[in-house]
Amino acid sequence: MIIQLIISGLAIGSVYSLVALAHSLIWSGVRAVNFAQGEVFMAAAFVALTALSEGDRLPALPFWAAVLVGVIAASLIGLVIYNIAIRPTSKKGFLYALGACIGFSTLLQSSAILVWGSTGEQFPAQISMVPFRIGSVLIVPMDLFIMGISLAAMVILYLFLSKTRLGTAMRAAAQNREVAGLMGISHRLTDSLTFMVASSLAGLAGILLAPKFFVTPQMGSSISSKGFTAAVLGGFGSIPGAVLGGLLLGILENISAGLISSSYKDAISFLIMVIIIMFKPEGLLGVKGGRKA
Amino acid sequence: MKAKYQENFVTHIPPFILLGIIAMVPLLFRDPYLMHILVLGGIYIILAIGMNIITGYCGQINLGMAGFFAVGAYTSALLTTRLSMSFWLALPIAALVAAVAGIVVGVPALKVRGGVYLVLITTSFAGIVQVILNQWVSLTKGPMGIVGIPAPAIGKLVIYDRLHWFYLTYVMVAVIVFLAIRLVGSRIGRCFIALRESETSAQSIGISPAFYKVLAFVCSAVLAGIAGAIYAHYMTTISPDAFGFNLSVLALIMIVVGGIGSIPGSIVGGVALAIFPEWLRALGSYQSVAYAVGIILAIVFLPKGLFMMGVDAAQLFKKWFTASEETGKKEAS
Repeated sequence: MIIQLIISGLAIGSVYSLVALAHSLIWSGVRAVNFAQGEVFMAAAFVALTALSEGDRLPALPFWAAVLVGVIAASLIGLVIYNIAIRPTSKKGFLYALGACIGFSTLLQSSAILVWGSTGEQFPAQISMVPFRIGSVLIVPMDLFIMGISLAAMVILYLFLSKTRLGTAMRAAAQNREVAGLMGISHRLTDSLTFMVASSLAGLAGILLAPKFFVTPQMGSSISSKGFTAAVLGGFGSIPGAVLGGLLLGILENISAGLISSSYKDAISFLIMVIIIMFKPEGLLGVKGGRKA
Repeated sequence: MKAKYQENFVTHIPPFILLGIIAMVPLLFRDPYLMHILVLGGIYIILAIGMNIITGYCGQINLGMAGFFAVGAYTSALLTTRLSMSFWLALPIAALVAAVAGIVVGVPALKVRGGVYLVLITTSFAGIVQVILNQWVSLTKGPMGIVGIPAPAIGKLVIYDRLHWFYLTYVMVAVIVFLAIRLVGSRIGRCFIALRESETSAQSIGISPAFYKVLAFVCSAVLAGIAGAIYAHYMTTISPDAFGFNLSVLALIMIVVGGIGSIPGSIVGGVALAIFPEWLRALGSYQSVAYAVGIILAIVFLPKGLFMMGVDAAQLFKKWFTASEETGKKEAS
């Protein structure tokens, strides 16, 4: 029973990891928080769905191309959010950045309602949802697919950050903005890039999770709080922490839903967040004594 | 003595001029729908003042106002419908329960340094409140909400008419505005501001951050609870989805748009955010998109808030006026 709950919690956990990773990248790189992350997630799912289905003039794209279109759309939204909401308000104070981000999330949500309607649509599943059995554990192929793609995205992110010139520049700016600036690394470039990479991760998470749930304009708000909880759990700003926090949150949520009651599932996530913030604010893998969120 | 008098004059007059202008509206327009918007605006003013005390004056970002609002609304609604208590008794009890909620949030919030975690902890509180309202069906009737919340009565007069509600709400708003001005001008208010500016230096002159931060949370929770109770009795039905994250966001946007750390700013922000969506109603389905764009533009381009913008514009105007008067005098001589 427990093993079953852990296995099925891992799939949604890996999606939480991607969203938490987006938060951690932005916090460690730009010292900002994108409170519209959930809406980026939602918009990517809708764009991919539109690309996947037969349009008036546009032909239906294959799945991989649709994913690519959705991810690119998400990264562009991230770019716009950084340059309009975060950058101009960063000197005025956190409150303004927060307000502007929330303005953006309202904007994305209401635009989605305008374009796609408020009822939501079904995202066609690419992989079978029919579970198969290994021993006494049921495994859904779709879940394996979600985990595999998330893992691949994390590996690509790692390679990008460690092996490429741009990735190195981003890490340098994350470590010390002033010195990175002196070395000729443009803040605006690295910050914009960080937002684009982070938003594309959040967008990918949205597309991966879309077949499991209905795609609705409101789907972002619950994932947004889950992403924050996962990031806080692992240590806000820590990259490995985000991955661990997401997986752990997925498992904990599934276990509590299975053993206690599924109607209080969302409250569990909030409670985890409050407990971690109160008793271990640096998170599981955060650096103690470092800059805190 | 005279300086003290002038200072009082300056801080007390603008909010009451603003309230006076609003109070004159029913003399000119008798539209019940306009009355409805303005009653909501009055409730928003109370909420915005609460938000401003904690966020504008004390510098603690609170995105859990919907939680306190819901606690006030449900307490008053349950007391009046289940125990058939009078509104005038239920209102202070609602405020008291909200105050307890303020302590419940304020104490853990003390552990937190910095904005992001405070945002997360307060939103979690509001989220937990909403989950409880939805799931504790035996008490709150869950998503169906509470219906038939009785109207308050003054003597034999039952407040049912929109116009009566308008005057009742704005009398309460005026009392709260007066108390809030006294509060922020008092020793307590100055301690809040000192904490906002620098916690370390406030501590070094003997201000206890723990006490004053929790006190600020309690003040804002009480005001949100009162606003919630008025809302419940005015709407007569309440359900959990009225108290979602959007309401907390609305409280934040009201003070950012109206003016952070300013009581008249709260009045402007509260009324503006009640009227603004109605004003955009002509746009039809584009209403909410235009609303969001308006909010973003206001936050990015009007950092001081609408009220201070008005004050700045008036001062500029005065400067021009006096300058032209002086040049006029010079030319005459």
